[in-house]
Amino acid sequence: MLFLAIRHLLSKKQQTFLILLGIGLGTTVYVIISGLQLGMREFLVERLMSNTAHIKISAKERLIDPKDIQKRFYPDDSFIDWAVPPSGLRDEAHIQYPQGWFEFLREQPDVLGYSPAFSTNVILSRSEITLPSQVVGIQPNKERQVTDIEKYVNVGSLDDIAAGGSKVIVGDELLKKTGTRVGESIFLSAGRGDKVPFKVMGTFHMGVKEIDSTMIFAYLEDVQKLAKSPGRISSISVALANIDLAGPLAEQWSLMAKDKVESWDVANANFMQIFKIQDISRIIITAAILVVAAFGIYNVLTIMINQKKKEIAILQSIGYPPRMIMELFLLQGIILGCCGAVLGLLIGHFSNVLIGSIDLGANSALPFGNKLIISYRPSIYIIGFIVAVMASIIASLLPARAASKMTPLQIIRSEI
Amino acid sequence: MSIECHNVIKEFGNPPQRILHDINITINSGEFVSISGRSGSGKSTLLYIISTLDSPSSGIATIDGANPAEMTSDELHNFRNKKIGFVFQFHNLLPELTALENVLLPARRFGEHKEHEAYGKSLLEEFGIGDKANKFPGQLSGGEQQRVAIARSLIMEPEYIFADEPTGSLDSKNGRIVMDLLIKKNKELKSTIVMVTHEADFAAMADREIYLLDGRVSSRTD
Repeated sequence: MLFLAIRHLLSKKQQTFLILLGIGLGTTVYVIISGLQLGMREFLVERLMSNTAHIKISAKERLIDPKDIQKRFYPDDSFIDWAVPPSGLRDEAHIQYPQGWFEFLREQPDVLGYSPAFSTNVILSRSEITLPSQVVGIQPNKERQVTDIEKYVNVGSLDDIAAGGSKVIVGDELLKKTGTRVGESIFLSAGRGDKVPFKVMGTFHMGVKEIDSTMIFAYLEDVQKLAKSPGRISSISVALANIDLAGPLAEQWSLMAKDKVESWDVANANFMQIFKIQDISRIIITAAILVVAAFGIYNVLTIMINQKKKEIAILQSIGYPPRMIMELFLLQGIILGCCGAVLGLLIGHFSNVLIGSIDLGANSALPFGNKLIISYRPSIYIIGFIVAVMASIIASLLPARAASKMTPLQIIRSEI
Repeated sequence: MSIECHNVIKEFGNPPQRILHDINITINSGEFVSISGRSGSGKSTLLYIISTLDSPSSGIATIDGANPAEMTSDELHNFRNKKIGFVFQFHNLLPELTALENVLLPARRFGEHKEHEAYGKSLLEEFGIGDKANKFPGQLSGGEQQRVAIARSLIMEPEYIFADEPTGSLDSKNGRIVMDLLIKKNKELKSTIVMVTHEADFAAMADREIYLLDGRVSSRTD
């Protein structure tokens, strides 16, 4: 039947070509959208989420509540009319009792490691240049148990700041702006003190402009000293043996203290939400295009079956049973689906290569440089192929079934 | 083996309109029989019933000792493929296949077209259209197309050949060629041939003529 199916399709070249184009277009759009969306997603997951601990315990920012103050100073419920009600943060956000968390985390069997950090906003200065930046104090030995920051250190090593002594690893973009080289010093000021010199031991490059042009890593105690906040911790990153436990454990731990406890997926909820929206939009767009293409197949096969009634009668009279007639038209749908899908995958792939090679210019607003990141993961192509072929099979089922139900006599009589 | 009709009645429509009235005929093996009659006499309906394409409203029509109404779909189609050859008046060939591919179409049903290719070519040669083997139906004349159709009906060397007005769309010269071919093959292969025709000359060329008048077997009076 394959022989006849191919001959049928070749005998209607223009129709066949248009349908192939329809299916191909659907598949192409799927590959391009998936390539772009998943490329961006892979980047975000790798660069941003891999730097996120499974669970992050951080300080809750607490605002001054005029009612609390009123109760403290005027407990007898007298009427107070504030001329200027007290407002603002109670103090700099920090974990209330970090030592308690450390002891607790050490006892947890699911915890692989934890790393305390203290971050503060600073002014970086070097000769005439001053730049706002954020310095994060870490303990390198503990930090590498929970995040992949070390992977992005391109000059020097995290060990260079492990012993303290006012040493820093600076984002390469930020260092470039200051005109400083590795081995030289920069000055950091936390606002409540003098400028403190720090020696630049290395640089890191995460590929995210926002981070590479503002962030500095230093030893935890050096940063605490700089901010005049000894012993203060702003976050604790926790690594678990099983990432799936992050959600339930974070929920459980958040009941134990006033601090904020978030699992990685909640912390990146905005990204997860974007991914979901991307998935839905991709499915809707692709489905819409494939439905149109499937209707095309349905229409073409229905018309073809009407045109080929005589042939169906001849085939049945010379011994081709209904199931082979059905096979004949189903095969045409499958051939159209397979060829259209392959065409679409090829066009989609090469379009993505082309899109990925477009230089958007050095000042592009993209977080990862001047070219779009495209995903070429095999699952995109496999899913694209399966969806196109399935749509084609479903679209050809009804006409093929209708053709198989015809009897030679019905056709002969209708022709007379 | 032969073709037998016992009290075959065929009705169509609602209220039922009787087309064939109590037909009782026997067609012997190797016989060349023509079924003739005026338009609407039921000759094509009778042919479709005895050729397994249709079934009677009542009565029994058997072919080769079997009742097609009792066969499964696969058995029926296998029977048609192996034992029956059809020639119709119109719409005979698949336009996207060459003459030879059309001839080999019944053999392709079970993937036997390679084995039958030489025979197919020899049939086309014998019918004077050997040089047209690779032509498409659109490139052939009506007479040539009908010869291809006869070659196709013979490719499986069937025991029965049913022809429904095989000369109906042809001029007298081509009609004569087609008739000669059918008679020749009937003699050579001993196939049973049943042909419907409204042309008295051609009907008379058969071994026996069954004349239908208003759905009943009758004797020709015109």
